[in-house]
Amino acid sequence: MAGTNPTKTLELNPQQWMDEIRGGNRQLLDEFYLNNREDFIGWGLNNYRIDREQLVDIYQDTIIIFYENILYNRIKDVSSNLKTYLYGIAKNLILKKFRDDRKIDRHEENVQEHLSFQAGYDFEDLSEIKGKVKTELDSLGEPCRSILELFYVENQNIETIAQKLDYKSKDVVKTQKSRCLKTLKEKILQANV
Amino acid sequence: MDPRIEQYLLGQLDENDKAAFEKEMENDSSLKEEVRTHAGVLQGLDEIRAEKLKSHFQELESNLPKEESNEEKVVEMQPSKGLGSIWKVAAAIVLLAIPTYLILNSGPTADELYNQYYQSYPNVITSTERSQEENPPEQNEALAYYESGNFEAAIEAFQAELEELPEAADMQFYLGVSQMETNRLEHAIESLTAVVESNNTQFRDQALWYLALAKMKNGNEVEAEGLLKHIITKENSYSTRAEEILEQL
Repeated sequence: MAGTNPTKTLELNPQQWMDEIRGGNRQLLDEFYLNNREDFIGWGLNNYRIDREQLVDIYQDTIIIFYENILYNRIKDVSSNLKTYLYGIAKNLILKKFRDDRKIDRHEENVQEHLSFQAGYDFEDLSEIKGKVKTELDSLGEPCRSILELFYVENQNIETIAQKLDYKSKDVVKTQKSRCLKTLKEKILQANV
Repeated sequence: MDPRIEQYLLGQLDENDKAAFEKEMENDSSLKEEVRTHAGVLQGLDEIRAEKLKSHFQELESNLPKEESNEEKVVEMQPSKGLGSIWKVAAAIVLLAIPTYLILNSGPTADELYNQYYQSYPNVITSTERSQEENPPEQNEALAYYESGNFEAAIEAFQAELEELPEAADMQFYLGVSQMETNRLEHAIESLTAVVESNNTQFRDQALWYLALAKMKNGNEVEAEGLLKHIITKENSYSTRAEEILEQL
């Protein structure tokens, strides 16, 4: 796998490619998904006793974590191949899967490495907050729900959001987004009490 | 909201700003609480995104042309339990019975005997939660590779572990079996001999058995015979099989 460029369609270097991805270019992500899929499955079939269907499932989860790590700027060393990084995530997921299938409750240190917040700060259990996000987001009226979804879930940039939602300027969207986020947080915290 | 909160969580602050921000957070509990809430909200949004992406990829998959399933049938990770598996076993016995019958009539070769008797040894080290916690993580990882059937990776991991702990006969044993799995017979013979010669009693009988099989496959039939005879005198769980092989060799 060394030497091949997983981002072949556009002549982007890994850094530029990640910038595009962070900018909300989902088409590029789909392209990446399709371009690397067969290699990944071949690698899995050769190295593990896992069937194709399960490998596709693992591949999807791998890409999702990979994508998230790009969004959070967790991939620092892009001199090494992006693909190497991708397979690193996959190996951890596979090990975790084997452990889970054996019903062994392990400290998932390997997986944590890729799944957890790497901001350097260890916040204790956030599950209570994060569990309320979906419900409270759904209960937000428009345009808040759309703005927050487009920005945080679809990862579109402010300019695109302004166009899509027919706003005159980016600044209006920015202000609106801050207000909406504040409302969302308040609702979550109230629901927590 | 302080714009640094999101920048911090998204890894957008440079090292200096990040350190300064963390220090500020330490001295300002309300700021810290705000960051914590924001982190939780972002994680909740991450989960929504992950769900959406998952269904999106599943849809992408359903639009792909159907694959020809001419690849090798792989062993399921978790064999299904219940009636289904009984039929599989029955079918396997029927399939196995035919070649075995032919082999017995024509006098099996060492290779055929090896294939008939060789079975990889189960992971008995990290089979319980408690034992996993007591073991070093590197060892657990090596055994996880072993168990997943990735013997190449397992060999590397066992070797790394043995560099640290050359006396670990259990690791040496699993290394030997992994080498047999990848047909590195000379290496397997070396590893297993080390186990037999060690003070370890937990894996000595197993190592003897695998050593006999490895030597048989590697063409050292005389040595294999000697080992099998030795196994018979030990009257352990391998003795009957050793006798069967000796009769056919």
